[in-house]
Amino acid sequence: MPAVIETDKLTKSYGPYRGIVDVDLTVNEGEIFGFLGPNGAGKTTTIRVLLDLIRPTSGTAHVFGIETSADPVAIHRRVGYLPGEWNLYDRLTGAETIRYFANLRGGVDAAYTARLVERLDLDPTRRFRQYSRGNKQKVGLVVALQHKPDLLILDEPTAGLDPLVQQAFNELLFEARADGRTVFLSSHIISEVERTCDRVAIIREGRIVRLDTVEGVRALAAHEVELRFAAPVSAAPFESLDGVSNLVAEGRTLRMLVTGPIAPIVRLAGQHELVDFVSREPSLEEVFLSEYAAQGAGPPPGAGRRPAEG
Amino acid sequence: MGAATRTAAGRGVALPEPGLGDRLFGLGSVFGKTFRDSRGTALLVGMAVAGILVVTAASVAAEFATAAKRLAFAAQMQALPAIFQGMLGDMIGIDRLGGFLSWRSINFLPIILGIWTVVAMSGLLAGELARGSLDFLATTPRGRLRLALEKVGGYLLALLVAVVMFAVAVYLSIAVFGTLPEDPVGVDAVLGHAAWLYITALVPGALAFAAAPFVGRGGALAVGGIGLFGSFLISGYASSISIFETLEPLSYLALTAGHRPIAGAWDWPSVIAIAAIALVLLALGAVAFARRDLIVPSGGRVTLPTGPLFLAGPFSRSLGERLPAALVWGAGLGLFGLLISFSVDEFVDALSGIPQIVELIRQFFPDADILSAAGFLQLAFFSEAILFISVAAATLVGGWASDEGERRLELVLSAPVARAGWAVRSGVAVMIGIAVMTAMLVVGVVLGTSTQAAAGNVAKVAAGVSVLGLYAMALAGIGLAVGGLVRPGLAAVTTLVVALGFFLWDLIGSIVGLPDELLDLALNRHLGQPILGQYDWPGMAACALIAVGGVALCAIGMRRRDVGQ
Repeated sequence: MPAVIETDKLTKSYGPYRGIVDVDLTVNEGEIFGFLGPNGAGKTTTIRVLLDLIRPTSGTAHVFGIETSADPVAIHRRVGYLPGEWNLYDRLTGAETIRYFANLRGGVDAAYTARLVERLDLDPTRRFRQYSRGNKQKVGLVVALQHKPDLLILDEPTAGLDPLVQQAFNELLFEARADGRTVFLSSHIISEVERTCDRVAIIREGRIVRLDTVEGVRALAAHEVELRFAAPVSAAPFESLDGVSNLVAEGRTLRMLVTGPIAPIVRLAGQHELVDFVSREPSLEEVFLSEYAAQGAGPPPGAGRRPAEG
Repeated sequence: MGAATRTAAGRGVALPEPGLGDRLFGLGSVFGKTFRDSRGTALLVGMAVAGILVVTAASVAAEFATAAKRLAFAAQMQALPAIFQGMLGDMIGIDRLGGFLSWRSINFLPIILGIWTVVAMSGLLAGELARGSLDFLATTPRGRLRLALEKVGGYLLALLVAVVMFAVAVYLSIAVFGTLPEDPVGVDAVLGHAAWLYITALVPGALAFAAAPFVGRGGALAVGGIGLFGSFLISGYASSISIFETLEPLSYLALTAGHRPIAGAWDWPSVIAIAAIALVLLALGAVAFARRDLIVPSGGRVTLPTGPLFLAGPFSRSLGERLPAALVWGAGLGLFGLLISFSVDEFVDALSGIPQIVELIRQFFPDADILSAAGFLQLAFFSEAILFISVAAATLVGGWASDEGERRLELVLSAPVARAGWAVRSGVAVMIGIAVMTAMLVVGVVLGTSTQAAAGNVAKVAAGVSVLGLYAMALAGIGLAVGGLVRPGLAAVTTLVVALGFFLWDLIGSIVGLPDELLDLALNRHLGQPILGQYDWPGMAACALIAVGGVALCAIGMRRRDVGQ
């Protein structure tokens, strides 16, 4: 599949503040790509460079094969964008807001827009300033989706949405993928990414630290394995196997974390009278948290990054 | 509905292309929406300007009905030293209705329209950026340069609407009330005058627009404001005070002072030169917007040391929020006072050489020492400083209103803080901000005056200048009351409109001969001549009452109405 987004050592600094550093990303056509990271990790900075809202300090970014600062209009023509922090015009109604952006784009299918409004359960007759946070978010989603863009770039799209609307939103993403369109979804809600995305990148302090399919990221992480035997067994042979860590023996039960192939564990366990075997794949959330724990810290503190940048 | 056309996704029925009307005046384009957003203000400004012109023309026609009366008045005015002719520049052809209108009313319009252009153009793009809507706009398929040009174009059209209303009002006023043979003017003269007004109103806005990508909306407001009021001061004082005379080439108002077509004076080269500068500034702003990162600039702001001092509660926090603007305004006003008061000796020397004028002035101020710093400052400084400190008060009230407008207040009031308590404390913080600003103005005046041989009683001068602060507090009280009782968005606008209303009522009403009962509706007429030591105690008590009452009404309103609506 051709790459829709490609970055090469993409770096952005804000004077002394870190933005992103050497970000290498490839997002393929027709996939839903998750971009995970805590607040201030560099998600929004990356997105804003892709859209030529800010210019890279070094490195390059291409969208649809076009260098982002060379012809941003050609890129924008095929992109739908929902920013992470935004506001629109207080005095316009929801319908007027949606219509305004439809006019600016041209060629928007009125019936599709109406269906979006209906599916997202938006009352378009109220003025923007009268909307709740969730309803404002729905207006933003309609503006981003209504022209059926080839690439959707969504920064924290489900903020403020109730679970029913989140469900409708997920269906819209799947429909976009089924149409062969591409979604770049930035979020720190890991369950959302796990549910919807094909591939995922984890960004930490401005650098990409993991990039794989959701399954691949999980597979690379430690599985939690529990072995229950008919009688107590020695833990030492298990501890000496490659990839085993955090081994705990409790009576007839051994618990451990296993990274990599699990067959050696199975073979060794088979030499004893095995009563039960449980192997649990970690959730993406556990992978994400362990990624940060492994670096010896929780999500990075505010120091060293530009305030209000995601 | 247009024909079924290819949609962005390649199927379905496309929305019809926006029509020409939508593109020009509606939601069909960025240009149209920008014009749509500004058209209401344009009509209001145009109507206000037209009203001023019609009233002035009617009054002049009634009071000076014959050529002899006009000539006598013109000769009398032109005999006065420049400082007594007001801040409105040279009197050109004031024996004609057009000349009189131009001098007494129209010469002030670049200030009124300039305030509008600075406020509007500083926020054309920077306001959208700060609000968070610009990311949506900038990712639609139009280049940033085009986006900027459409924004500017939409606003320029709105400004044109106001100026066209001005031109129509000028033409009709002179046609209807111009009864003397010299009065009629041609359409070309009206259009030439309107072109001058359009360009001079645009210059400070263009300056703010050019600065906005670098310093953000707040900084651009300051840059545009300095350009506007600085040019006004230089132009107004240039013929009286040598410091300002040397700065004359920096003032676009001074440079175009010879172009008064309805008074019979033409100077197209100066207007074209200023127009070219405005265009360059607009181009600079548009190109800077297109080239720079779309992030809110963080430089150029006055910051106060953080710490417990400004975090103790609603009062200290409000004070911390208001003080930076108060300090900036105070510095500007103090510099203004310093420059003016440095010229006391120069003025006294010049006036001493014209004993007839001294005698004439003493008829109006029998108990005052005209040949002193106090006399000079009362005549040449007080009424202009009123205007500036009023605008400053409006900005502080605007800052107060932003707590609710930007929805911080809801969080504050979710703490155990009573609404009325917050209103009183934050209102008092506004008043303290005005006090700080006034104190800095007083310091500037005192410093300048102290260096002069004719300084006189400097303490008396300081006390008199302080009355300006009391007046500003009264205006702020009116704004706070409206903000508290109705909604915060009206607070600063009310303060500004009331301030400009009082100023213009006094300025134009006195020249067109309104009766004192009507003129006295303007609060600024009830301050006495405080720098000369002549206080209007009832008027000052009224100011204090309005200030305190405004805060009280604000508190009452805040207790009753919905918050954040």
